[in-house]
Amino acid sequence: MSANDIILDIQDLYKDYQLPRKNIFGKPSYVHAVQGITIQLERGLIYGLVGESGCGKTTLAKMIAGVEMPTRGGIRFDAEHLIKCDTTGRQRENSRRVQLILQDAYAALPPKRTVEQILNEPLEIHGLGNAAERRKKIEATLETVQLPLSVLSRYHHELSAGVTQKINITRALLLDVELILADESISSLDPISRIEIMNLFLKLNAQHNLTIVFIAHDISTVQFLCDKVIVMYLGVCVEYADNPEIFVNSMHPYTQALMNAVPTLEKGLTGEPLYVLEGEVPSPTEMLPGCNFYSRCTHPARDEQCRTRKPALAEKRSGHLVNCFKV
Amino acid sequence: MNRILLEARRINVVRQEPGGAEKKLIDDLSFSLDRGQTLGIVGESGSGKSILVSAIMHILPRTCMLKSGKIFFEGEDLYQIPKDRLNTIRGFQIAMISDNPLEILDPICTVEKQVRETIMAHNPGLSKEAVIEKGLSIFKSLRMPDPEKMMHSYPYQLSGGMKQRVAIALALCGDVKLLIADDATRSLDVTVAAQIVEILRKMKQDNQLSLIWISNSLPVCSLLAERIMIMYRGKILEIGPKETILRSPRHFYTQKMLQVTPKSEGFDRDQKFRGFRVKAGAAAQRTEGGCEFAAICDHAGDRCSASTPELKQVGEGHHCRCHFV
Repeated sequence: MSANDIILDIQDLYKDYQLPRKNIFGKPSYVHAVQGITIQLERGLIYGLVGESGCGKTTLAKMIAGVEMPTRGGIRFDAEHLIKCDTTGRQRENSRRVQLILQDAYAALPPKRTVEQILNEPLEIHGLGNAAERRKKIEATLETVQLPLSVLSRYHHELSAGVTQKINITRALLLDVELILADESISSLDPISRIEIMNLFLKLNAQHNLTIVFIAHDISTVQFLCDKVIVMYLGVCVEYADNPEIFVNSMHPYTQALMNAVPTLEKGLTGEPLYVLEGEVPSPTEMLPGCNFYSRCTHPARDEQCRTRKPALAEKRSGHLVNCFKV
Repeated sequence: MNRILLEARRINVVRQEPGGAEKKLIDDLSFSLDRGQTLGIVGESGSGKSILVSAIMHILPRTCMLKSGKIFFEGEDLYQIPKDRLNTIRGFQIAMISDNPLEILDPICTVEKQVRETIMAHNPGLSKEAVIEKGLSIFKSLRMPDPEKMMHSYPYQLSGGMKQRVAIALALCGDVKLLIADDATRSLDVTVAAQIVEILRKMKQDNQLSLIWISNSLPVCSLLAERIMIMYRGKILEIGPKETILRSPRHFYTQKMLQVTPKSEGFDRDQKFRGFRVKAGAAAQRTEGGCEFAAICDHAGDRCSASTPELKQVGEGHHCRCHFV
């Protein structure tokens, strides 16, 4: 695998958010949102980033997109140091090539601009082409995402959530984006719009070699869309493997609990109970001495080592990494 | 004792639009729910499922009204009985949880205060100690990890799953017969949603609770429901026993929903380029007259845009609204 194939190289990444102090003499406390992530992502693949509230996936996405700065560690985008950009030009380039699409389709767009104005704006800011060239590019991109040209004269609040999300994607594509981070981008859409957007991502990946990091808490969409899956829990990566390996042979106790808690038609028909993972996620304000999943882990071999020492992501089967002492 | 707990008969709910027009939100809808049964309602946003809940609870917004039709609870017409009587049913015998527990929890009261007020409203004679004890026993039956600590918390201090459990607890304070859960697990994480689903399943078994279990997802709906009702733009498109709806649905909408639904072995990834061809931009279109679903139906014909199909019986307890059946 040549170096060109790695689009994102994340090394030992940490992010702490400081909480407001209780009083002026109090010690500061922190939310340890990301607690050491090391991972390389290949260009042209669709990655699934899965985990529940508080696992740090959105924080990780924001750091990759350049919206947040890491506390420690580094991110290299396409072999350049993302966080060490000290020229505005370099930052602007990266913001063009790596973009974030969020859950609330409407929130990302200004309410008093038409779609045409919204789509023109990034091209103008980056100084790409003259008015005629921009118009041509906008029309071509709208065709790629299968939106009619009539949408240009509308305001986003007149449009459905699915169409608005497509406009967000259009806006990213206009800048020849190379890596899209889609943070729960389809979870609030109706099932049919969801499928439309998923099919669009597949098309963009196949035809434009677009790398996509798809963040979702809905396992089934990740199963449909993603080539590789990263599972996160309380700021760390607990498992990383190909699709379908990660679903068929999930090894980390948390991943297994997650998979068994997902509603499916079969479970609905048989009436069998869902697997219930008891308890709650520990508070991210405390850095635990050992494995972050220790308190809820029901693995039969769980022991003192798990409680007191941190496991590391290691290859347990070919291409399948697990962060656990006992598997 | 009558078997039927809740009955909606030909209800029409409309909304007054500015300019005097009326928009139909629920169109000639009828269904009934037996004691101890669970009805699942599946529909996307705009299908009218939340307005239906508001209609049953008699809490329609100012702009909306029940234009015609009747809703009976244990044989009583909810829109004809006096207000005092309605207030002993609503919130006590019929209770509701939604996808946002903060609609039910008062953010400036501790959990204890809300539980206490709810229990006392239904049991005026109870002593303070008995009220607290009843509250704690309800919490324990819902497997709350630390009931005393929960009682002293404010809603903002609780996680999403915990808030939802408190909302369920408040419903149980009033000896509820019918619990309406409007997309109750949508905003919860998968593992937390599983906890809530299993709590409700146990309540169904132990307390003979009737449930209206609403979701925009068929698998979620099928977890608890014995019968499933598919709604679209204010109408029932299909209704029937769970096994029938999941194994042999007749309506194209239901069939399409099943296609895009997770099965245990996951989606067939080879289908990804052949799959699920949906008419682009179709969801944004509107139809005038004819079948509501025709605009995005793969099989729509001339008859479909000309006249609205009736809800016809197609099997044992199974009805479908489509010209093709």
